[in-house]
Amino acid sequence: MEDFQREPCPWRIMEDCGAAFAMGCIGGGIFSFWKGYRNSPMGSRVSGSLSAVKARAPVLGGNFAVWGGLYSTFDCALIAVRDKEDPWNSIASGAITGAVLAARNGVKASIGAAIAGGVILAVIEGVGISINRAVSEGYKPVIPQVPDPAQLNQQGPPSSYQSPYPPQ
Amino acid sequence: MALFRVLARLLHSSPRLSECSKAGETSFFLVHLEKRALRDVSKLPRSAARLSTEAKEKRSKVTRKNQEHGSVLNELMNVKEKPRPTQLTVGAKVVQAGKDFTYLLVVLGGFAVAGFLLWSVGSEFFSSNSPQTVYSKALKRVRLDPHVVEALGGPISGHGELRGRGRRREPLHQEYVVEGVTYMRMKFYVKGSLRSGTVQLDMKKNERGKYELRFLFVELDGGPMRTIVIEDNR
Repeated sequence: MEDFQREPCPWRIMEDCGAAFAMGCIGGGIFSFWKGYRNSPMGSRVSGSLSAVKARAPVLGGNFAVWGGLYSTFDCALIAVRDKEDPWNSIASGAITGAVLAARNGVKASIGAAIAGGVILAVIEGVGISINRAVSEGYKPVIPQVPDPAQLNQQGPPSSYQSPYPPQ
Repeated sequence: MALFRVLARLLHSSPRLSECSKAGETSFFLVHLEKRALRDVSKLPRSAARLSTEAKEKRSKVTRKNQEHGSVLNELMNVKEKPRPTQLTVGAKVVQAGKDFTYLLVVLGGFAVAGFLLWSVGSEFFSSNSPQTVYSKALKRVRLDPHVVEALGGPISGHGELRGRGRRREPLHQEYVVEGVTYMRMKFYVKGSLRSGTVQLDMKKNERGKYELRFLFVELDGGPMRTIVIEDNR
């Protein structure tokens, strides 16, 4: 039951921050390992790539964590303001996060970063939505299997509906 | 004195340095000059060396200059120009065109994927048959209903099904077909200051392909069971 589930919102910020940090560390680790391997001279390739990972991966993780934490904060704030949870919140909070993080570079840069953030979040939402659609297109039952709420008098499918099962 | 000798030599050598660099001669001469200057300075007695700080500075500058010039000249001399084909052969042209075409295809594919994703988001927001639009309209109606406001209390917030890391954006919905007519059942949650509830609704597609509300009601969670019927067209 939903009653026993706590509100995700304030706690979600911490969760998103940590998840983003982990993602940045892993992705940055892989990338800088490869880059360090390529940029090191023969004979010290592994040590070079390890030092590149040590230097770069936590930095990228930190950047991701800042982004994720701010994004989640704005998302929660928008949910509280609009009293509604929907994909608009996430797109808008992506744009706001981009704008805030680029604010020190001036208004122009800030607007550009806001558009970029909004588009990125819209694409991410689009991935979720199109996966949902593909799944629900594949599974569209011909007989209603969703139960009517018990409190109202049951009214089944239309009277002309033929049961696929043979009469007993 | 040795000091004057060094200074004179430096003054003497500097214009020739510039000449060298201009003329693009070999750096051997510069290196030779530098070596001589170094030898002269090292020959100086201690006191004279202390006196000739100015000269030292100059010398170091010149040395640096020499090294720079030397390296640049060396580079210029050592880099051998690769013979470039003045005209591409037919085969090379075909290969290049194939590469360009592949890159073009990759770029266009990326644009197509991004466009498709953005389109799916846009249609989710702006199409009147999409689950998000249905959810928004239903939530508006629930908020406007005085019985619901009285039962739930305060500002009513709505959210969908919880999935993964605190995301509750999408309402649970299912399209189904009865006798060739498409229906959609949807369920989402509302929460007021007093109580929370579950909204159940059903839509039927009419002849023009637009969804029409069949029923919409709010089941209150917990406490005495109660269902508030907002609309029932069955």
